[in-house]
Amino acid sequence: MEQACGTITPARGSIMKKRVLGALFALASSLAISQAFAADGGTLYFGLSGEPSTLDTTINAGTPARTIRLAIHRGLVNYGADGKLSNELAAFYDVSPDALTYTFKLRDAKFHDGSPVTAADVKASLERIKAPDSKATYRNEIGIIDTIETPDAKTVKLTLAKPFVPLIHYLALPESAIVPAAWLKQHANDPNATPIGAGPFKFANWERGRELTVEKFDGYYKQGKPHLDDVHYVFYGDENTRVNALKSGDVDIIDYVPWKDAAAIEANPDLKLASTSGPFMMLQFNTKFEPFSKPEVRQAIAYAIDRSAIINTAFNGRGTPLFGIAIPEGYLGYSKDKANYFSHNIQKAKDLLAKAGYPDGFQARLLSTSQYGFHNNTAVAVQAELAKIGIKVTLDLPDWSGRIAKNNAGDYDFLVAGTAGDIADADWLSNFFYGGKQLVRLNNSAYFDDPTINALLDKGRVTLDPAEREKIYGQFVDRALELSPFVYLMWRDQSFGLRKTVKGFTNIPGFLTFQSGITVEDTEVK
Amino acid sequence: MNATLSGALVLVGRKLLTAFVQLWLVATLIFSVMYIMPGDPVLLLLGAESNPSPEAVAAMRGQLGLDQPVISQYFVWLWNALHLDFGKSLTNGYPVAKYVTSNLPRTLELAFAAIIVAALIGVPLGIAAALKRGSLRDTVLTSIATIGISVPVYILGTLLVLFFSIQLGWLPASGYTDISRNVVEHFRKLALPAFALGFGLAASIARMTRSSMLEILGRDFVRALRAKGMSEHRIIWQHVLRNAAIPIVTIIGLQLGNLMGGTVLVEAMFNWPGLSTLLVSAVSARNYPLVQGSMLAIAALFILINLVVELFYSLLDPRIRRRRS
Repeated sequence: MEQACGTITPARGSIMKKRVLGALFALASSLAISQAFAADGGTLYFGLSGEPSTLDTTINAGTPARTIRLAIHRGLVNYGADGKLSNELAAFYDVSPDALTYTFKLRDAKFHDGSPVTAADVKASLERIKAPDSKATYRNEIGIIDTIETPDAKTVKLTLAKPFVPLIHYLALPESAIVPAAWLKQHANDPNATPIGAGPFKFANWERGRELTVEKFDGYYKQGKPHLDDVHYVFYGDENTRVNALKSGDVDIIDYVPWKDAAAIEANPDLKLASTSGPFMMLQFNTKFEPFSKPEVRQAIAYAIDRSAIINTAFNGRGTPLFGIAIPEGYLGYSKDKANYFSHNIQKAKDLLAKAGYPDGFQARLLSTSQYGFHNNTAVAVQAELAKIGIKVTLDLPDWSGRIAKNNAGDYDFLVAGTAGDIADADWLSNFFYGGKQLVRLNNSAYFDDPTINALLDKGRVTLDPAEREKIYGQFVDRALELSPFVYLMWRDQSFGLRKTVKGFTNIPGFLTFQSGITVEDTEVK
Repeated sequence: MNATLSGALVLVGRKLLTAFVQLWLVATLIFSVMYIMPGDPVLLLLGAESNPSPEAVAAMRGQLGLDQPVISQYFVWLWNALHLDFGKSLTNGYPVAKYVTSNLPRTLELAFAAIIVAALIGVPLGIAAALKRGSLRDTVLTSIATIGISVPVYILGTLLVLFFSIQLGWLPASGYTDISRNVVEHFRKLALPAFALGFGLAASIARMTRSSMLEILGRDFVRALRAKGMSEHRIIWQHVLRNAAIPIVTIIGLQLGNLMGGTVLVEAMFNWPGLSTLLVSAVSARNYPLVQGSMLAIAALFILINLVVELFYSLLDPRIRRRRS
C-alpha cells in the first residue's frame, strides 16, 4: 500500500495526467490488496501432534488423522468453519416429514482421479460403513440406514426403519467421507493404497515417520479454492519440539498447543493463538467397583473437587470450571441453572460419603496416563483433592496405549478422560451415557446402564419436534445429574498456534475443534 | 604369522557367537516385555477415539495373527528372523526390514556427525589446555569440559534450539531433509542435533587429549628432542600428538556405543527420523514386529561397534592380542 502511494506523489499537470495516474493508483492499490490478502499459491507446513496409524476413512484414529483426511475427503455434508452443517458433495437434501427418507441431490464434483462423484459412490461408501464385518467407528449410527437407493446418477435416497434425527450429523463426520466405488472395490482393505477423495487436496506422498504431503486439486468443486499449492503435514510427537518448530518458523501452524506454552505464543509478535473451549476433562467410573456403584459416592466426588486446582495444576489456568454436565452453551440440553449443579463443598461431600456408608472414605485406583502431562497432572490434582474427604487414591499411569487397553477392558476403578462430543447434535450424549449391549466401552462409565436414561436417549433420537426434544434432553440432564455416572471437571482450552502470515484457518468452536482441519481449504499463507 | 591369523579368526568366531547369543537374548527379552506391558495394537488400529465392537476387535486380531498363543507367535517370529524375515508392520503391512534400512543410515549419520563435531572441538581444546598446564586457560577449558560432560543432552539441545533457531533464526529447530533433495538444508538440519549429541563427547575427548598429551610431554624422548633443539611446534605436532592419539581414538570408539543411546533423546528432540524415533513410535503403537526389528537392529549395531572396537584395539596393541591368543 505504501509503495503504491509513493508512485503517485509526483503527479502534477493536466487533468488527463491525473486521471491516468489515479487509475494507475487504483490498479496498484488493488494489486497490493490482492497480494496481501489473497495470495494464492504457496506451501503450508502444518505441525501435527502425531502420525496417523491409519488413513482409513471409516476409522476415527484421532485428530491428526482427521486433520489430514479433511484435506483429502469430503462427505455429503460436513461441519463448516462456523460449526454449522454445510452441504458439500450434496448440493442439497430433503428430509421427509416422517424423517424416514433422506434424499440427497449430488453436485457436479470430481474425485482426484477425474471420475465424477456419483450416487453409486455414495452407496458404496455408506454400505462399507454399514457392513456386518465393518471396522467403522460409526457403524452403529450409520447402520441405522435401512436401504440406500440410487434412482439416478445424481440422486441418493436413504431410507430408515425408524426416525433417527441426528443422522445428518453423523453423515457430516469425517468418517462418513465419500470415496469412489471403483477404488473401494480394489483398495478397501489395503492400508497403503493412495487415498482418493473429492476434497480440496489430493494425496501426494507419505514419508513414514516424517511427513505427509497433499497437493492442490484443480478439479475441486468450490470455485477459487483451495488457495494453497500444497500442505506438508509434519509429525511432531514431542510437544516441545512442535512448539519450537512453530517459534523458529519451521512450520506455519501447530495443533494441540501445550497449555504451558499458550501465553508465550500469545506474547510473540510473529505468532497468534487460535483458542476455543470445546473439549472437557472428566472422571469416568467403573460402576461395578463397590463404592463407585453408588450415585451418592460419585456425587460426593463432584462436590469434593476444587476445579480451580485442576485448571491450575494441569492447564496453566487455561480452562473453565465445569460443575454440571458437559453440554456447551447453545447445544440442546444446555440450561444455565443446571450448568453449575454441583459446587465445591467439602462438607456436602463428606455428608454424602457418610450417607453412602463410607464416613472414613475408602481406597481406589485412578487410571490416567503418564504420556500426556495434562492427563497425568489432572490425576495428581484429583488425588490431592479427594484425600481431603478421606478417599485414598493410588495412581495407575501406564503409557497412552496401556491406558486405552485398560479403559476398553474395564480394568479401572475410575479414570481421567479428556474428550469431546462427536457431533453438534444432542445425541452425542448416547456414546457416553447409553447402556445397551456393550457395557464396557472407551467412553462410557463401565457397566453403567440406566433404563430411564436409555429410554430418554432413545426418545431423543426419534423425536422430530425441536421443542419436544428440548424437553426430553432437559429430563435427561436431571436424571444424569442425579446418577452422575461421570464427574465433569472443566472445559479445557484447545488451541492451534499459527504464524501471523497464516490467514483463513479457523479453530471451529465447541466439540468441533477436532475437525478444524477442514478449514485448510480457506487457508492462505503470505 | 599363521598362528596369529588363526588366533585372530578364533577370536572373531568366538565374538560372533557371543554376539549371536546376545542378540537372541535381547530379542527374547523384548518379546516378553512387550507382551507383559498393558496395551493392545488392535485398539489403536481401530481408532484411539472409537468404541470398537468386540467382533471388530476379534476380526482384526485374527487378521494380524495376534489371536495365536504368545509362545507360538514367539517361535514363528524367531524362525522367520533366523531366515532374515523380520515380519511386517502391524499398521500398514510394510516389511520391518524396509523401515529399519531406511532409518538406520540416518541414525548412523547423526552419530558420525556427532563424533566429527566432538573431535573437532575436543582435540584442539585438549591440546590447548595441555600446552598451558595450570594456567588460567587450562582451568577455564577444563571447567568447560567438566560442564560439557555433566550437562544432559536434552538441556543442551533445548538451549541450542532457543539460541540458534528461535533467537537468531540461523538454523532450523528440527526436522530432516533428504540429502538428494536439498544438500544445504540437509546439513543445516543436521547441525544442531549433531552438536547436541557431540558436545558431551567433545568434553570427554578434550579431557582425554589433555591427560594423554601431558603424559607424553613428560616422557624422556620429548626431553631428548628438546635437547636436540627441535622446534616446539614440531615436537608437539609430529611426536607428542601422534603418540597421544591412540587413547583418543580408543575413547571415541568406546563412546560410539553410548552415543547410540544418546540418539534416543536427540532424535526425539529434533524430530530426526532415525532408528530411535522409529522405536519410540513403534512402542507407543504396540507395533510388536516393528519394535522387535528396530530393537534388534540397535542391539546388533551396539554389539557390532563394540566388537569392531575391541578387534581394532587388539590389532593396535600387540599386548592385548598376545594375551588373548
